[in-house]
Amino acid sequence: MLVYIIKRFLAAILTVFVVSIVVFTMLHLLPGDPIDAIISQSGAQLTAAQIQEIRSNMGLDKPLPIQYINYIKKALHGDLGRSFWSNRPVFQEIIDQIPFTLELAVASLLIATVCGLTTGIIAALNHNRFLDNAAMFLAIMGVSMPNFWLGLILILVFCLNLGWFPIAQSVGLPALVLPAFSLGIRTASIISRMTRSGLLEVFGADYIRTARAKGVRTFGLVVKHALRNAFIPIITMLGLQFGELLAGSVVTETVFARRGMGQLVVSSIKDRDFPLAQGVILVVAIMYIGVNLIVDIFYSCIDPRIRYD
Amino acid sequence: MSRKSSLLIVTLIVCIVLLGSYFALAAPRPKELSANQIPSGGSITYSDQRTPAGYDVHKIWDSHLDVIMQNVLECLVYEHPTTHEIVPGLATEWEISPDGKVYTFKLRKDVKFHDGTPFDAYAVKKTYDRYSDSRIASPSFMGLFGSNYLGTEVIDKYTVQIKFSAPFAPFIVNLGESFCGIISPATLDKYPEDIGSHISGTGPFMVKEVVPKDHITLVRNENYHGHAPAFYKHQGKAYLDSVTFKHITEESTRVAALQTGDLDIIRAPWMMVKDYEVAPGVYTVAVGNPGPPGRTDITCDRWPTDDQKVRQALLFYVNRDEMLKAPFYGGAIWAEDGPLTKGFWTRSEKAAAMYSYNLAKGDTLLIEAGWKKNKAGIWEKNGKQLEIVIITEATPPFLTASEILTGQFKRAGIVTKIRSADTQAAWAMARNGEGNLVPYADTATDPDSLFAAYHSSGIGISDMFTRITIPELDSLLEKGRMTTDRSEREKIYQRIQEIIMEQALTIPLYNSARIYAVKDRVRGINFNNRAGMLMYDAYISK
Repeated sequence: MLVYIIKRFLAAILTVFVVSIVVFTMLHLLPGDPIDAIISQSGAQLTAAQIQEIRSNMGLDKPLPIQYINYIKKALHGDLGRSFWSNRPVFQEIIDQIPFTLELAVASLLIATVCGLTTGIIAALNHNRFLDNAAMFLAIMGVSMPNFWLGLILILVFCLNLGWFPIAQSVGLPALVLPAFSLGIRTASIISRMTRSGLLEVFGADYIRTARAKGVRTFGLVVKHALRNAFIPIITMLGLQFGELLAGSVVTETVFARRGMGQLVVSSIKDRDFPLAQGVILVVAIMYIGVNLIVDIFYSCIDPRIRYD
Repeated sequence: MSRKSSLLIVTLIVCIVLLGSYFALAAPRPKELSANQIPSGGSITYSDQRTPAGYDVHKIWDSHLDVIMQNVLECLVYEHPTTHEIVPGLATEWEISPDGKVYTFKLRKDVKFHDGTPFDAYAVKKTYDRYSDSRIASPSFMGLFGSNYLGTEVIDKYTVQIKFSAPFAPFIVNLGESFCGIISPATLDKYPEDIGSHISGTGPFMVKEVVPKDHITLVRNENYHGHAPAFYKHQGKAYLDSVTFKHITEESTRVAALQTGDLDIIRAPWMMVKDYEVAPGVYTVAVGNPGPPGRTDITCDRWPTDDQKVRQALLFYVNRDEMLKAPFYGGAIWAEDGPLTKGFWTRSEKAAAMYSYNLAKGDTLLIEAGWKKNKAGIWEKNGKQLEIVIITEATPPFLTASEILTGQFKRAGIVTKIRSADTQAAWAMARNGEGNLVPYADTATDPDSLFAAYHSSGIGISDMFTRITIPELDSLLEKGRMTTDRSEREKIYQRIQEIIMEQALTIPLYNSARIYAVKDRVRGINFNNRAGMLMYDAYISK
């Protein structure tokens, strides 16, 4: 088990390196760079010598591999550089925003898990009856609705018309409810369907019939026996969905005017703020890889039959 | 009626009511109180449609940052927004040398920065030394000071000289932008890397809280007294206790926040100005953006717009009135027909009158250029269809303008394709001449803004999308920025505009006006020469 964890950890580090190279390369391949922005905004008043000096000050005159090596050397020491435009350390920019994104991601994951598992269990226990149909209808609706549209409708109904929740705030539980709901509902729908189909598959097994015959109550049957066996694909999905939630946070943060990494990454790419964009995407990639690593390790706790060589 | 039908009807009604409430906002501007009735106190929250990348005025050239910082930083002089005279700011007198290369300013002696440091000539020099430092690589410095800046010299404690190697006529007007505002030297010394979070000026408001990418809160400067520029309506302290500038880019959310009272003023979507039901609570104010209008520049070194007759035909095919009536068009209040907006001091009416919507005239020009319509009604020459490519930012109003133009050109028999991308990518493609038309808009207080758009030195480098060298045009643009005599400049820029339209280098379309939606309780707002909102005279009417 320890050997497995070490191997997965080393693979994760390698993945982060590969991501950093891909992101670095792709950013520099995008048309337009910060020098272009400065030149065009200045009305082309700069001489070639001035342009070269600016390029050199920003470190953009060196070949790409050298720029990458310089960047990664500093990154390994915790220095992700400074934002081209705000001049604040990239690390500081990320620290300012990451708590809000994590808060939103965790809250939406919680909503997704609770709502998804609940409706999935209800649907499985009432297979082919009204509750099953209703739960699956809701699941289809949840998957189909674009999260920006849902966000706007939630603002209209609950903020504007009912006044139950604040708009454009990032602090406090009331400010978190609607964004988390709008972001989590799609994942909840997916989990609901997976839970239902997983449980239905397990409900037909002999050990379930035996447990039922021995008088185990429904709650115990589902939670202690059925769900544990159906849970592996759901855990995998939760790990993968974490990445979707991080991606979806971009739109949710914009619609609800919340602080967070989503807006930071979009604005840094739009403004060609290379150090900031690289730093933010790297941190997001580390978070995503880390979560999936934890999920992999968590498998054997859920199902002791899984062993890793 | 079945249950399903009833549910559908109820849903439809709810949607219509919700949608209707979104639009029913506008009301006429309420009456202002007289000076002796204006109460002091209160706070307002304002949201623009942009989020500045930071708050360092030297590194970031952003119109919303200008609106924020004009409350915190003061400039040596200003251009009066209505009379266009240059009025005193932190400088009480100034002199321009006969050769236009040396500006001498006498400074106020009774002013302190928010951090207590006294204002003097040294502060001016330190500010402009940082501003001009190549390590800062300020985009606005080059645009506002030009490329011939030599330096700032302290003559005595309250006299400073700014020197150039060649005259730069727009300089005195440009000095009034908040990017040229004077920053406390103590703050510049203490926070050289992060001035944006700690900015200290002499303005009527000072920075209380900075939360990057979210908001910045300013509070009244209790020590501000008696030196507000002449375009303000009062002197002394500001009326408001505080102003918060919140950054909400999503339009619907911004409007909703205004309706719930979380915001007091917003940069409103343009559709809010037109034909709305009058409703209590909010009034709208539209302010035209001066300078070059919202337009579509024409790339002149790419087929088929390398032919002047084709370019001129395009100008005859555009119907501006129809464009403004298009539903949900992110356009503006009025159409523009010349290279400079209506009311701009050097505007040429002769240039503006050269083209108007006329399909027949456009057709005649294309026939003269050897084009013929095929059976499908598309213009063709040597077996090739007349096809143009529009390169645009993937945001309104540029994308919307492109879509409308596509329809109008199709009616005229021209095939149009749109290539849209994010801002930086779109401008990079446009600079490289990868399309024929480029929708664009900017704001300027001096006609020298035409230099960046039309002087051939910018080909492939700046936002000079026409990519054509016209020696007479280049020469006049160079002369215009070096001539300090106002009436002489006017003549030069009139001729420049005539050449631009004769050569059909651009299709003027609309005024990209700024629309503000304001809660009734907020009064006293006015605007600078760049259509930016001023908060100093603003008050809360109880």
